[in-house]
Amino acid sequence: MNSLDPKCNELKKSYDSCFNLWFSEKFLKGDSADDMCKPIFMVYQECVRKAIEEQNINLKEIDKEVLGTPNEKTPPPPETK
Amino acid sequence: MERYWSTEQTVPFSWVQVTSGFWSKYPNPHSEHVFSEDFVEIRILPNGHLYTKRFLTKTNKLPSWGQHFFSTRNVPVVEEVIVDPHQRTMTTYTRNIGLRYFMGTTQKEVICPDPVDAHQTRLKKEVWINSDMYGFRSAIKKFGIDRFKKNCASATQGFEWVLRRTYGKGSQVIRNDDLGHRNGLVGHRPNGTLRCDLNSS
Repeated sequence: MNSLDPKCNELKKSYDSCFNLWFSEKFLKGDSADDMCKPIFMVYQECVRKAIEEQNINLKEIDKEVLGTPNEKTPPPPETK
Repeated sequence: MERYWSTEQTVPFSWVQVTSGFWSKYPNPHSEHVFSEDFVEIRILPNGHLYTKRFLTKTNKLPSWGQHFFSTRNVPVVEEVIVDPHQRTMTTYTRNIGLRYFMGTTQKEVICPDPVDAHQTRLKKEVWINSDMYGFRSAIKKFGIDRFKKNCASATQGFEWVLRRTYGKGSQVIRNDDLGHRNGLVGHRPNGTLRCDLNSS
């Protein structure tokens, strides 16, 4: 899968490999220390955020958090017959 | 008023396989519409759960009447995920952040081990579709819900394709559950693939 900007593809590839390894070999096995991939993440993020700004994408909207907050959507109430 | 639809599916892979494979879901033969994908946030929450956020762009196939209003090719989409490794729950929450005035799609998926067969995993999907375009709201919402129903089986098939490529055939037992859902029907084809039937609502 490509990154938003082709310039970030190599960084994305490196980060994704690290994340996948960390997720299945550490996190799912009970080790929640998350510093293993942080150094690569920081460099990768710099590239991605720059691309987001260059493409005039709404960073504020991206940074918003909805999952796990009261702003999450809920199912409609069941119909009463 | 928003349109809502929900459905449940089962895939023949364990929860560990499904959640590990989730991050590599794209590309797959059913995902030509996903153009880019990037992590933008990763952190461990105080309760030990993992929170991630990815920014994706998807090419947006609008109906021809919609293309008069918007020429945007790629729609920006945000996907948030929380993984609870102890309760074995992965929750995903995906919404488009551009084109929302035309059609806002929010999808929530809860991924848990099958309660009876640990080699299988349940996916519960919910979708909310809204539109603020005065005069076109009903048509747009109907288009959105119909498209989601039509695509939800192939979305899961695409995910299963990725899982099979990584883990092999998966569990041999495919149960013909009564997987009910609101405003639609889910069933199994004889060869084990999933489909979401449309109904009139």
